[in-house]
Amino acid sequence: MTELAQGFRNLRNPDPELLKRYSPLRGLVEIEHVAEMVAFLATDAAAGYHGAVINIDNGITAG
Amino acid sequence: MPAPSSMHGKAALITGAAAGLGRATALTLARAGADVCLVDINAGALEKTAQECRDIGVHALAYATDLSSADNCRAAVTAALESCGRLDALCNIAAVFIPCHSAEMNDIQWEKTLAVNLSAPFYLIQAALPQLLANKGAVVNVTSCAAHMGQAYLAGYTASKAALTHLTKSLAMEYMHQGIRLTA
Repeated sequence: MTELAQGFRNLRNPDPELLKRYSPLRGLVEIEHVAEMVAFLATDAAAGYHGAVINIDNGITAG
Repeated sequence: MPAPSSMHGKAALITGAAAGLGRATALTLARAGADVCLVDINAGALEKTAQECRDIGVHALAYATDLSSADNCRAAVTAALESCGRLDALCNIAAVFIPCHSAEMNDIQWEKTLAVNLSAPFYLIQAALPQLLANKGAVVNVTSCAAHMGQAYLAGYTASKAALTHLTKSLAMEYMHQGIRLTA
């Protein structure tokens, strides 16, 4: 998400109110935390996960 | 975090591995013992990630290509198989992210976003399917909270991620009884 947030810097005259949606109250999620989940899902330890869509967004979609 | 050696003797194809989440995932899987085939359009940075994986002690192939072509996706899977001898996991992480005013988004930007974020994962899964079915392997498609929430200035990106999320779920239904796992 850090890189994603940086991508907005090149946007001409954005409405700042509309950019707030990707500004989680708890800060941006760490890449390492997402990588650990992606790698875990790739292993047999994740045998119970099929068709699951997992949010790792530091609370963005909480409310 | 995957347990050490939990991927020993297995191989993973990871797209977007030159930087960011793709690189971090490649290193995490390498630490778990996986041989890795790393794919990205940025050849220089990709080779750096590959060397970091080799330094951990696993086999690593750096395969630089543009995933916006279906043929390139298929060739990447072929290269991974030739290099690693097998394939147990496919992590679709490469993505195109172009914030812009939708009225000004040109055809190339739109088509590239859909090609890399949505079509490439489908073509890669399709090509890897025989191996993943034989090995009871896993597909992990990295989507985004943008799949669930509309976001200004990102119509192409959010649409591609919503579609990738649903692609994951529909393939999970289609392959419900065949051992392979698909998650997002």
